[in-house]
Amino acid sequence: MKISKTFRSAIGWAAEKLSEENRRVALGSPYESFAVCLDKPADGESTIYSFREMLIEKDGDFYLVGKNLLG
Amino acid sequence: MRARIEKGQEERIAFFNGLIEEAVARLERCKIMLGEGKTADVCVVDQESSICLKTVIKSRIKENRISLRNGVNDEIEFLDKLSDREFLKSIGIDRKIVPSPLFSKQDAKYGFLFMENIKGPSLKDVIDRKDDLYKLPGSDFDWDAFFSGLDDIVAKLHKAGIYHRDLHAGNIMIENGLPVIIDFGNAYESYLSDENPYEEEGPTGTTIYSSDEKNIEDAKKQIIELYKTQTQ
Repeated sequence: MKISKTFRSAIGWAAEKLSEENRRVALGSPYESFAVCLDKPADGESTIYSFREMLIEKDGDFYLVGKNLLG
Repeated sequence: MRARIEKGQEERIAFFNGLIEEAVARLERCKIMLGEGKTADVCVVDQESSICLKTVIKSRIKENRISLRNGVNDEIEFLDKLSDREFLKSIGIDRKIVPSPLFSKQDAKYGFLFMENIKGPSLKDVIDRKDDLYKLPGSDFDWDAFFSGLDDIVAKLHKAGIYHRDLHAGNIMIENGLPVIIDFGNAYESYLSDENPYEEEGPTGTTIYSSDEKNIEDAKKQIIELYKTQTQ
């Protein structure tokens, strides 16, 4: 499995925008089938990232969710 | 700590595997074929989807006796490099030239590569007048500018040591009037100025010859002729 750097950057870009007010942020085009969120989604699959591993100066984790990638 | 990281990686792989399984299952029910090659298919469920899936069918590589240099995990590296704005800027290109990649996976039978769905026809679609998925360029389309832009991209990539080596009408898309290059399954990055990028030593010691980029000249001639006829 290989995750592209371009996609990883898009995850980081969206994760930087997460805050108490914005607890879910959709990724930019063409990755809009994905979103990052502070709360583990109750339904559907997700995977956890730490802010630090995405080189964001913030403690804690966020979740990446994605569904219906092909439309 | 190490155990936590390993568990996290396992969970992440399971997440992306789940997305692949979901996509494959949905394609079995409803598949729109965007491109069909000798070794791979490119499909979506909904034509408007911003992401498509390229599936390399490894049995076809054997059946067609094709020597494919890169697996999808190598191909995604080319797409990554050519999506990097800083790299593109460093070689004098100021716009998108390839689809944005997401992730890839190879197993014994298949290679899966998720990438941006370029919403436009290929030059092959234009030549074949295949307009069931996309509107084809009109008679006022500036083909001189299009091909001049394509030549410029290819020349700059060659100067940077990157050779596509399978550039034909099916691998050039038109997006917003501009060329986007797809399928880096046979691409090669050369680090030596004096080597021939179209010749490589194969696993059994034999020399493998790759297509140079001149195939695109045939497509140019066909399209220019086609549009000349249309406007007469």
